[in-house]
Amino acid sequence: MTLISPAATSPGHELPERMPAGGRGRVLRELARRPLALVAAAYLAIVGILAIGASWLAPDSPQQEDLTHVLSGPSQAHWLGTDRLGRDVLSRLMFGGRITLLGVVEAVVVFAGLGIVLGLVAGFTGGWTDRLIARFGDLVLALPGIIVLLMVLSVFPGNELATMVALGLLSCPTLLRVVRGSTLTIRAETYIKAARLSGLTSARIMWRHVLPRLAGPIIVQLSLFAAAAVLVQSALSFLGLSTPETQGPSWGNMVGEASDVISQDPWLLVPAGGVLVLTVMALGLLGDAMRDVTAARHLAPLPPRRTQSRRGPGGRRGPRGPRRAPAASQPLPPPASILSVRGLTVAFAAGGRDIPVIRDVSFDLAPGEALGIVGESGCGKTITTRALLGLLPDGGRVTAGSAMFDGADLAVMPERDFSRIRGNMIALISQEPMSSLDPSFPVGSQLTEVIRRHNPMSRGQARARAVELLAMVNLPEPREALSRHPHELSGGMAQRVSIALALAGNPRLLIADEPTTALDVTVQAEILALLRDLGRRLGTAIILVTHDWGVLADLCDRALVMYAGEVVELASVEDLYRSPRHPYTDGLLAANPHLAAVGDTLPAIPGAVPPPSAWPAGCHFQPRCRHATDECGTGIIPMAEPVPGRLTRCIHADKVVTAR
Amino acid sequence: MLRDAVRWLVSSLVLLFVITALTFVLASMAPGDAAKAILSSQSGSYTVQQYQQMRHALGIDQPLPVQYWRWLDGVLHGGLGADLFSGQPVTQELNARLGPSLSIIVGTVIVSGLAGVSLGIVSALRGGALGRLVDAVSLAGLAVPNFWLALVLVELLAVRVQVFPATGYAPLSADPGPWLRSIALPVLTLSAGGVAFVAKQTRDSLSEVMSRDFIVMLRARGLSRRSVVLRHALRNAAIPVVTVLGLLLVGLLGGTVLIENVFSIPGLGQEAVTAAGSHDLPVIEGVAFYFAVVVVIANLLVDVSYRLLSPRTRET
Amino acid sequence: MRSFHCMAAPGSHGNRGAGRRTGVRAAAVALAAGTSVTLAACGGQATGTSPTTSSGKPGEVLTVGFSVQAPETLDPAKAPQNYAWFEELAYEPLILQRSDGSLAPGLATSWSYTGTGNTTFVLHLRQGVKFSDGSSLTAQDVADDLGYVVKSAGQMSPFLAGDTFTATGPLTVTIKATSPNPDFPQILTQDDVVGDIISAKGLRSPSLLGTQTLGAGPYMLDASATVTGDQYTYIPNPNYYDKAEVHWKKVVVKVITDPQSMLNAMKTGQIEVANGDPTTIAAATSTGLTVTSTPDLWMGVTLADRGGALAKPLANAQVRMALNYATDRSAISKALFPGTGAATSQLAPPGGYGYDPSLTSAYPYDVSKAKQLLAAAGYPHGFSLKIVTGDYGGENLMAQALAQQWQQAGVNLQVTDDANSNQFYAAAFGAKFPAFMTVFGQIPTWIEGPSLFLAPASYNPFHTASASLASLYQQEARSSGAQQVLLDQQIEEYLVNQAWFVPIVTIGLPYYATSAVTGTATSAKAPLLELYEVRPAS
Repeated sequence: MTLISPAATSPGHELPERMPAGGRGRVLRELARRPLALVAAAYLAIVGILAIGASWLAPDSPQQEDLTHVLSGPSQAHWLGTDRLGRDVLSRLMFGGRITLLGVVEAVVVFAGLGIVLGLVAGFTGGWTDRLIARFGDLVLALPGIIVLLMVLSVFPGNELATMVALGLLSCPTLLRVVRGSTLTIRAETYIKAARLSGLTSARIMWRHVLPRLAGPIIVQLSLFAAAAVLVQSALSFLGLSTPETQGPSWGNMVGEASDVISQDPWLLVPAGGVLVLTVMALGLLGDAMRDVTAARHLAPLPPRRTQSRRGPGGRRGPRGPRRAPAASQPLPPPASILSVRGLTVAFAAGGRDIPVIRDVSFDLAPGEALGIVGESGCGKTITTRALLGLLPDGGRVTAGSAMFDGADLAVMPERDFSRIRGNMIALISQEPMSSLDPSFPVGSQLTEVIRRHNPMSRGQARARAVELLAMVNLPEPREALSRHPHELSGGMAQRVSIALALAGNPRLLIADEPTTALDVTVQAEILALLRDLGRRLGTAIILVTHDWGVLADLCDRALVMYAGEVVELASVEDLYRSPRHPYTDGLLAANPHLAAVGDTLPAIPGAVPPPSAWPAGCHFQPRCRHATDECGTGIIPMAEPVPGRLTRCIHADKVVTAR
Repeated sequence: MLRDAVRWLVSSLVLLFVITALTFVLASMAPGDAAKAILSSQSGSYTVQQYQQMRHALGIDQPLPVQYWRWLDGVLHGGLGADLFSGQPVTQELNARLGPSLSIIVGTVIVSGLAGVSLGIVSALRGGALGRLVDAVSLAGLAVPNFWLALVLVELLAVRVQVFPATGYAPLSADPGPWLRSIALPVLTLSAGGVAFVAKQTRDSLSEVMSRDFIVMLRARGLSRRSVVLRHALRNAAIPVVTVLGLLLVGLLGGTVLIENVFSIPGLGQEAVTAAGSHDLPVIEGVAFYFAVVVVIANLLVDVSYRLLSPRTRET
Repeated sequence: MRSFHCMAAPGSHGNRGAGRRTGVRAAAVALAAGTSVTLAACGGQATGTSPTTSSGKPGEVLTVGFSVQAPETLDPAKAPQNYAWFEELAYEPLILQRSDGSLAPGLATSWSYTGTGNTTFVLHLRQGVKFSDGSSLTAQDVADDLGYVVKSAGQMSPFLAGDTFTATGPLTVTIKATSPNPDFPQILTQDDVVGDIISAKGLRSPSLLGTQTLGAGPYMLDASATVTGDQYTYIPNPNYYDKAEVHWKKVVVKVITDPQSMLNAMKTGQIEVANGDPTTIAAATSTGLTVTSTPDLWMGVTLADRGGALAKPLANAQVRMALNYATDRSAISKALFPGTGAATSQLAPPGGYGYDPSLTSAYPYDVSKAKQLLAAAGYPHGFSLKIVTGDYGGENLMAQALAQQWQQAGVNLQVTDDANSNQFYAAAFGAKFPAFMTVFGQIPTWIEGPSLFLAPASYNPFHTASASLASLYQQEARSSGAQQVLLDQQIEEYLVNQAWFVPIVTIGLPYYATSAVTGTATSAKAPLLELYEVRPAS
């Protein structure tokens, strides 16, 4: 296999990685970009200041009674009114915050201390210690906390510290689990092993390497727990089981007082209840924001519909992406093409602009033909195929071009019409066989579901058909396979099932997106053979996306080469191999280890692939091309046909030929 | 399968043992005891001799392990002892209180489950303004203290506009109407947090599943959006949601304590607080036992659901 | 005279589930006797017809709200007076207390003291009475029952302890007391519970009495519809001797400890009659509920440590008087009990036992006088005083108000709040604090002694003894009529002048009723609502 350049990750998915450079600073900055988190943090800061500084900031002493003005509503003298003994509610709220804050701090300290330490030890040490700690955690979590708290309050009546410690203890297993889980994952990473080998003690490793990466999830858990602690503390106070009024105001006992006088002064419910609600909300918002910022996967809400926006009749015709003229010198579609793509351009919305990721893609596909799309990761191969099925990821849309299939233009097709196309006319198999199957359903049920979707028949008939399909893809013991679940299959078997699913609708075109990349070498050959065989037998056209020349040669008649979102060359596979007419194709072939002589240094193409946001104005390959001239950078290079049947997007194609 | 059942049985027993033993120890550490309480209620002052006699009569003069052993022995013979004050068998007392508490807890789980999952689905799929609204409502629901909400709801929906009864519980004997109305407000109060909890988890979980590869592939195979979401995505997103429902059920044990208080509902929660205050050991133990059983059952239901939902766990 | 124990209803959320199973105050509310002439201490038949004119047919269901807490046991020999309602529905007493203050025949048709010195008391029983279990009432049964009461060592049993009970005829019972007891008739009414007679079968198996009723009253407990601790259902007793007095097909007593919840239940018609709480009176009135109450209890401070064991300053009477002067009673009354409380410097409510109008303002609010007295006693800079309070009826609020007021005189009051009533009692009655907040209901002074001011009284945890008090008390035992009233006043004077307490307000226990019922009147002589008189409003 030839892997050419490191994969650029596709938009929207980030693998868990180390703390990026400037890690903590970046997190704070991310956090600061979210307005809700900022508001929450500001609110908490204000509450904290008012509570701690209550002695200096409160308008009155919390004990200052005025028996002549009891239960008065908000007034100038008392902004939040007075209580049953005429004391100022605002001052009492501020002083009351101290009790709440203190309680929360006590609980959080215990929660964090125990959770982190035990989680680290469990995750890092493993073995018996781990099992013991995990069991302990499960047991503690299963205890009905309220009973324990009530009992603790019986033993230490009115003792807030005892209850908060107990609360922290009862809840620490949630943090313990998170820390333990992450520690286990991190421990297996190679750089930890390296650190160990180089002699660092476990403690040191935990402190320097493991803990900083856990900072995010830990903070999330802490703020969520703090929110819960506020509620528990105030509930116990409300019940009169702790912090009685005679010891001073607390938010909980203020709600309790409000409930006693609800008939006479319902207003009192508002200040104490309100501040409780807001504080808990603020803590929750902070925790959520923190979680969003540090999560491995971004769980942004999906946009309204998982479809691409359409131009054209009924679609949006916006200031973005005006229809572009088809590229010059495009040959008329050969007779009886099942698919004719002209000038297809797909863009993603980013920061208010549309950034194209593929531009001016054109090709034809004859019935039964196998066409390859070859290029490095990130060149736009997959996007092209997704666009044909109306399955572009969020934010993507076709902004120009057309894709005629069976008399309809896929580029402007509304979502509801695609149901006729997907699976039925055009089918897809993808790179990762395991993750393309629903892990929760057995193979048989997934097959029958798709079969019956495209062909009305009874369940029994569908099952029989399913067995047929599985046999067709050479799956051993097809009948038994029906009841297997995806995780019970090997990669090769799963890919066969995927193919069977793709064929269930009798499609005329099968798009195979790197179908063998994730498979073993031996299995690869089998799958390719299968595809070739099926294509011939069923007359299905195939579009094969690959970055491997060997695979390409095995299966395809013609191929198009893509670079940085553009088709740079389109020719028969043999022609491409023998005499490429684009410097990029030339460079790729030169770097192909299969074609190199033993002992030679493989020539690599200098430079790097430009990302869609930084495409050069003219030829995308110009910065790296040894044949480039200034003319290459003046404007978009159109496709040219120097020789019939060969298309290339290079104005110096002849130089490529002569250079060989 | 058998091995699993045995393992479940063992861990449940361990749990029951730990909970009741812990409760026993803690309850006995509390200052004061039932003998004093009974005697002072009867006649203000009493002699030391009367006190000793009462302690002996109640059986609380024995060392702790002996008391606990006696209690365990009673459990194995189907009894949970007798209320130290009224003499009524604990099982009888608590069984009468099971109905109200269970009605409220199960009702809340059902309402939270249905409403929460629906809200979660909507917000996961629609995003945008509706998603943010659901987020905000969820957050508010989780943040509002349930005892405060109970007070507000009683004032608004029971006193000012008399839609529901302000207090009390009507047992589900013949007529479900009064029963439903009597648990409506408590269930509503507790569901505020429950719905939020479930909706949040559903949304997170569903969003995560929707971003997985197989979802695209299912669409690519021509399946309708509806069946992809409701059949495939939900099924895969279900496990964390079921976990959350289990946690909710256990958490509601604590919630009922507060709610029963405000609504004067004769349930286990109220009994727990009363018994804790008066050192009625057998009753405290009984309540702890009942709660522990609820926890065990909740865990069982969750585990069974895991097995049904995820083929992978069926093997381990 | 009547006596009954006060149920100080909880006024604060502190009672919300704070475990008040044994929250009984050994307080007894006395009824304003008015004049003791009509007091049945002199014995005699109660004359007059029943003041209740029933409307004839039984109404449907009466739901009663009880706000203290659930009774631990339904055994009348053991149940404290707080739970009189639970008993009087199913058990008929020997002597009936009417709501207008008069006494009427119950299971006894007549009674009297014989001889002098108030030591022999004779009761004549009604003929043909059957209990709910079918057995017949006999004199032996009553004698056994009273013996059981003494043996059970219940709340009122000390007043019968040492007495002999004999059946001196098939329907005649004689009680012989070892020491004079002027108040037998009061003790044997339904308000003191011990007069409720249990059937012979119940006496043979007393364990049944905890959860069942075996009495001869108008109703009996329906155990199948009863949830212990929450709801007690009573159905008519088919064997009751006066069917016309049975007004309901069912009576349900619900326990609702939170005053606000109780009020809500009444507003929404779930409950027809309930005992209320001083903190919800204003709201109840504005909702249109009928509020009946007669002043019958005082709230304030018991300065228990008169010997100075824990707080030396309290040993000095001047200090105690200073504390009385430092209290702004009317401010507290207006703020905490608007419209229902009356400021007072004495223990007796207006019209109550020992009430002396001149004593009501014995200690006007005067901070400088207080400071003067403190200085004279040797505390010019004041002192610190620890006090414990429970959460009944707003006494914890009162404690906080006092703290601010006494601060003006230099006294630093340090308040400990024991929401758990067991703890509070243990602390207050266990002499752990030199002073404690008190809510005390009026009862006949003679009956009050052993609870309030005699040396062994629970409200006297430091056992302060006073020879003059003891002497007055012993005289009263043998007295009756006007002489008894005078002695009552003398005892009251002593307690006020010696400033053993700081009484602050006197209030009445309110009862709330909806317009669906009548018969909820109370009077100065009968401040406790008699449930059996409640009937449907026609």
